[in-house]
Amino acid sequence: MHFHKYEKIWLIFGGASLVLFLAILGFGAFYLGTHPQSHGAIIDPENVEANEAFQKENLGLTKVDEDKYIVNVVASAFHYDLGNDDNGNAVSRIEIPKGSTVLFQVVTKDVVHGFNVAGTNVNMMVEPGYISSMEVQLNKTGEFTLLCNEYCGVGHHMMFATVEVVDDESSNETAAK
Amino acid sequence: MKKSEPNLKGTLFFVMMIGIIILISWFAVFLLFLSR
Repeated sequence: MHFHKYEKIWLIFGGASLVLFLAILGFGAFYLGTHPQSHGAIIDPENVEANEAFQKENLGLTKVDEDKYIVNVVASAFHYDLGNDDNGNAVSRIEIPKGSTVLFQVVTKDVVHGFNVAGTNVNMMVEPGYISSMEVQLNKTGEFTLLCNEYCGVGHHMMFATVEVVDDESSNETAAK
Repeated sequence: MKKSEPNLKGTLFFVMMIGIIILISWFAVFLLFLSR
């Protein structure tokens, strides 16, 4: 078979790019352990409370260690249940100190929802029957909007909350005063 | 009789341009992911 000289150049270029992309993806998947966010952990969508993490009192932001947090969320049409505050009002805003590691665990009780903290890598699909989880380190301060980016019904656009990454806990207290 | 080769200069140019655009956009998205 005869190849034109130029043809060889672009075939090698295309093949080498493909190998490079696959090598980077393979490194991420097999060495760094990157995987889809709902990776086979299952739950009964009719009875999410059966899992301790999704009982009413465990929803929202929980500090588990120094600079380590868990955020448990139950999504349903059309809001994110982040638990209640001390006065019994629904939480719609969470504050996390900069640099901390946060594990987001999200389930849905009804349809497919999205879970996107816009401007960060937190972006998951939340499917009924599966627990979507993702651990990230939040290194940028600022106010981020947590929103649903999978169309879930007529109230889809009202499904949002706020995640604020604050400098540290002391500045947080000063702001509250 | 010797067959003359077709002129593929323009094809090479545009194939490489598209390849470079794909590479740049792939790495731009990947670096955005890493930086966040």
